[in-house]
Amino acid sequence: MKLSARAYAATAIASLAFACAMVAVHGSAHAVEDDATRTHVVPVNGYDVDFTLPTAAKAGCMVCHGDENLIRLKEDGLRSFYVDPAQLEAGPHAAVQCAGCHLDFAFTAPHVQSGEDWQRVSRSACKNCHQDQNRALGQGVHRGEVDAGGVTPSAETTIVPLCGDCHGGHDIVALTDNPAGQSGMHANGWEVCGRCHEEHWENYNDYYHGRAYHRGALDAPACWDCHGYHDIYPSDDRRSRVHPDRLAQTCGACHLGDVNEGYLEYAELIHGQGEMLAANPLYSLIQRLRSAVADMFSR
Amino acid sequence: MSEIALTELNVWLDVGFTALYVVMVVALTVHFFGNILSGRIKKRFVHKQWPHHDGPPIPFLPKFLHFQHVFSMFALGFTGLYIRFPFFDGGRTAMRWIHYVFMIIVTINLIWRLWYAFFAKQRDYREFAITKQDIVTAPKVVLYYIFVKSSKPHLGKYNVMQKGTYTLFVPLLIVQAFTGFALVVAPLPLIDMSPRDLLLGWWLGALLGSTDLAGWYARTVHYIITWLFIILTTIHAYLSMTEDFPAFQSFFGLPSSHDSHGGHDHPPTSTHASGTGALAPSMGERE
Repeated sequence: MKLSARAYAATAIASLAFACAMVAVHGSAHAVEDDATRTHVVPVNGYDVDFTLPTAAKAGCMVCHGDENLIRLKEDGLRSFYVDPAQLEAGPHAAVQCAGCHLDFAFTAPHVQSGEDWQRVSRSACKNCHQDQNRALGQGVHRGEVDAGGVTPSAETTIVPLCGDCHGGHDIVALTDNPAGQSGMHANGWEVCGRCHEEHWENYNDYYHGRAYHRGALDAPACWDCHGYHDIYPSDDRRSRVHPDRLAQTCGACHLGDVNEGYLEYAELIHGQGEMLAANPLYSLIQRLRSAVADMFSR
Repeated sequence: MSEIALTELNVWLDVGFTALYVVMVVALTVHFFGNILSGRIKKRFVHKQWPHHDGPPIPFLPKFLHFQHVFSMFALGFTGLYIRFPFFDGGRTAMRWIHYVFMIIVTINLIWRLWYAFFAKQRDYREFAITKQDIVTAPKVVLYYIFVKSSKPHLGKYNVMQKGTYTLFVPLLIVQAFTGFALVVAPLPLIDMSPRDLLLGWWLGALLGSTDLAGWYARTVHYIITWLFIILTTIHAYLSMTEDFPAFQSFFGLPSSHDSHGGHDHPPTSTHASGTGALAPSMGERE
């Protein structure tokens, strides 16, 4: 990565400061904040550090987080805290400072003092810039925590996804006017929806939508192509794109637009083909015969 | 038929045809063992006693059309089933394009073969005509195939079951081509209408209240005929190899053992139809 002279100087100073901090031991807690540079000097428990780093450029954070070896032993094993600088630069947020998303960042180690879940904070920090999307999300079924006025989402409803859960974090890609990004998102249905809505992911298995989508067909609809995104509603909610009242409009977006009630019956197959197959008497008979034959040979 | 039935019908078709195909493969396997036990295989493949081949050698054109047709139908069946049941990753676009290309080839092939059958110098449509004698002798043909009788009546190039099957291929191919083109929704240049609009929109679409719904009906018919082709051509391939292997070889340009065979399994009769070539196979009584 090419650094400007200032960033290079800041990095050098930060590295020096960090090296000094590693050998300095401070027993008493004190904190100093310099508003001009937004640097913090806070001795902390764990790995006792006293250092200053500039956050006005990413260089400060990347001194440590740009190192692939930055790992910590957590309860669930080793966890990497490495951030790929190339990935950040290639993403749509190259110009955003780290603290622009890591709002609760404190220049300490650990970096979060308040006991908040810093990941949850960063995953919902998008709303500060993407207000329209946040408003839409706040109306839908995934609104749980993002419509709160405060910066930090509530910790109770942890099941509700935050922006970063679907869009990713440091590896986020631009979607607007970016076919490659849209294509990447399209292929990412499991990460975006499937891992939470596992049952619907599995039963999205009809002939020309689900099966094709699972096999990577670019023209097969991803979950959000039918269900919408951000302002997603339960299918029994009339505002939902897949509510029977709106199916004609939703299906008609791809199917020429002259779909009628008869055609819309196909919608039953989209998530219901497996169920329909299981209910088919001939299929049940074949399954029973197969089991009987398998039993016969397994004896 | 209500629309919900169309949904369920599609599931029924999947299950029914898959089961039918498995049953058919088992039946053909049993039949093959019957061929071994009855000594027919030995008689044919060891003693080279193949059916009598009357008439002059088959011209190149029907063989070429048959070969092209076999290859195209295999490609269409494979890609068509993939489009409905994708069984590997990432192939939909390629499979669709391959399907489109062979769809055009098969359609041209069909027109060409029909022209040959009815208008060429060596036209052979009479070979396929089912006569009264064919109907009268039909039970004997069936009895031969189920090993009750040791030979079948030799009335011409094809027996009644062959004639019926090969003749059936023609309307099936026409309907298949029609319903296949009716699935294309991309607008044609200049007229801004899709083949579906042109073929279905103005009548079935209007009748059902939706061109898309008409397309669904067309897709269902297309799927049914696909299975009929798969089943009929599997039987055809099996019988062509077991009943008349030299003709099979000849049709694919392979060195044939026909000329060196030791005799006929039944003598020719006097009711041979004129002409040569065939819609599917040719030369003598073959599958």
